[in-house]
Amino acid sequence: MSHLLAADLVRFGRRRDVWLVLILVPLMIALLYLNEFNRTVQSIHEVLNVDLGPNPDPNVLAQVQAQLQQQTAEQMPAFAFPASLIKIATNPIGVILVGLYLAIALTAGEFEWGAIRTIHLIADRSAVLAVRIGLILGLALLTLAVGLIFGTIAPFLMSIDGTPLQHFAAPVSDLGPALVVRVLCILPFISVPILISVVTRSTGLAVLLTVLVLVVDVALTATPFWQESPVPWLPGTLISGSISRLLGGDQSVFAAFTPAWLAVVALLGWSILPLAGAVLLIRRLDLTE
Amino acid sequence: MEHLTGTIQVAGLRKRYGRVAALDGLDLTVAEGNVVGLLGPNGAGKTTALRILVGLVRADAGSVTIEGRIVDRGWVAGEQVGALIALPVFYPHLSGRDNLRVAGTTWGWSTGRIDDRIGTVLQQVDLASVGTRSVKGYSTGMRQRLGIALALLADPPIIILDEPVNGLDPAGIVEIRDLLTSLAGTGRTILVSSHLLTEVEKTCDHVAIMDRGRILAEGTPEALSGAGTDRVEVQLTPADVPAAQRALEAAGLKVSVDEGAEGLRVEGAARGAEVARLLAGAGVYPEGLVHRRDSLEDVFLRLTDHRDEPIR
Repeated sequence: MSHLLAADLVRFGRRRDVWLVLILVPLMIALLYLNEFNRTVQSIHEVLNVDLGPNPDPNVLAQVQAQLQQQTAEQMPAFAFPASLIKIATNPIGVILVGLYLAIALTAGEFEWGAIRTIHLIADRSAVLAVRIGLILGLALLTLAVGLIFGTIAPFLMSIDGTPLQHFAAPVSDLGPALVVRVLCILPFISVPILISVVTRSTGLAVLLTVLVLVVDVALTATPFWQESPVPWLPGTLISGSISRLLGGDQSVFAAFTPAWLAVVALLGWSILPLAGAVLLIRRLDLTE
Repeated sequence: MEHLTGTIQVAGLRKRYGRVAALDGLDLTVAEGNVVGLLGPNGAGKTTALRILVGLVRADAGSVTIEGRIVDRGWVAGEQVGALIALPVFYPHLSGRDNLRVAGTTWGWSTGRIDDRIGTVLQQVDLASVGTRSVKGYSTGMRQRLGIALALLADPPIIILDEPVNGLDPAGIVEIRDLLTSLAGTGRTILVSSHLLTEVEKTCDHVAIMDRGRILAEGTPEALSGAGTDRVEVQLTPADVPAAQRALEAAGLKVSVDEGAEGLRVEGAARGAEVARLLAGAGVYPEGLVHRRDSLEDVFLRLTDHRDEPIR
């Protein structure tokens, strides 16, 4: 297996698009975090925009100060380390984009170029795909890891109104499980496009069908019909529904119908089954490319 | 074929694509150390046969074994069988060397062995000077050479090549033919498909002619040519043709009139002198008389000529 991984590194080590994605996405993750921080600070500072006149009442001034401090104390801990890690992992659009792109480009691309024929001649194609899946997952998690490193360092360099951000740091209970759940939420966005890539054997079709599947998933999840149906727990087991259930916790609209364990099982299923299907299917394909 | 078992054994291979039978009970045996040419016109089923032979495509029926191992889609040519099937495909963003490096790395070779073998095979296919260039800039012929280089990379005992001289210029064809001849001299088992009869005739010690998914004839090039009948071609003025035909047929010879009615073909082992004597006896004096024997090309064209049959 290590030989196959080494071969993949030769194959894709010089792909500029792969490097571009791997460099830009951590930057995107950092920008998303900083942007959200800035928006939050602005909303906290909105209280200062109230016109108090040339000689403000000291009581009113004290009230404004108190409100400012209260909002800062409430909202800043989420940006301070270690909660910053959850903040970054909860907004993984960049990592999802990496997963989607690499899954389709590095899987469907083999069929598109016809290189799958050459792969078949030199190695077991199922083993090559299994290693490729590991590589794609690894690269996606690498971008998340870079984002998390940023989330570890940046709070120590940031401040609000002259107060270091880490002044507001608070311990986070269940940090590990919370991060694991957020990683789990990324996996279907890699596994589903990989299966679709093997089924369609075309980059364009894989992109189209992946988008369609995800849109249909969101549409089904959002349909109010389910709550009145005999299976109200069902939307909480779809991709977007299970993610919503797990990230929303007890506040999720699906909390009443779908237990958290069922959402975890569903998300694991969406992550593992398509990958297993892809590995089994690629062995059965007639390679006429 | 005289061998009962072979390095490559194909039995009753059938494959249909919709209503078209690409292979219709193909049987083929390639004995160890033989260089076998698979000849056939376009659409004869050569590439389909070779795709099944290396496990790219599953047959509807029949079996393939290579070195006693059943070939299915889990079978890997790997280092034992070097194969080039149809136009070879490589990663366009990688150089020729790096494309070969992918294979060597996959097989777990050391960097030294990879570099050594890449240098050797690129030299063999005359790509050494462009090995570091990106494959996207390669011509069709260069890609074909790189495909052959990949097939030779592991120095395999069995080599399967599908139309290896496709896209090559005449000099390239001669180079690859010489390369195949030198490989054949090292005791390797080689199966090469082609529709270039001259190349096969010069390179292979055994030829199988296939069409419509079946082997129509096989044997050494000499035996196949010899299997065709000798004939005497007689050039006549059109006015003499009927009388000459009558005289020769009266002597029990099988005669056919050439297209254009400017001559006769006397089939069988007739000697030119006998034909001349019979014609003289009938008062016909030919303008020319030549004794001919079928070439591999004649045999091939005769076996694969379907001009009178409806298109499937």
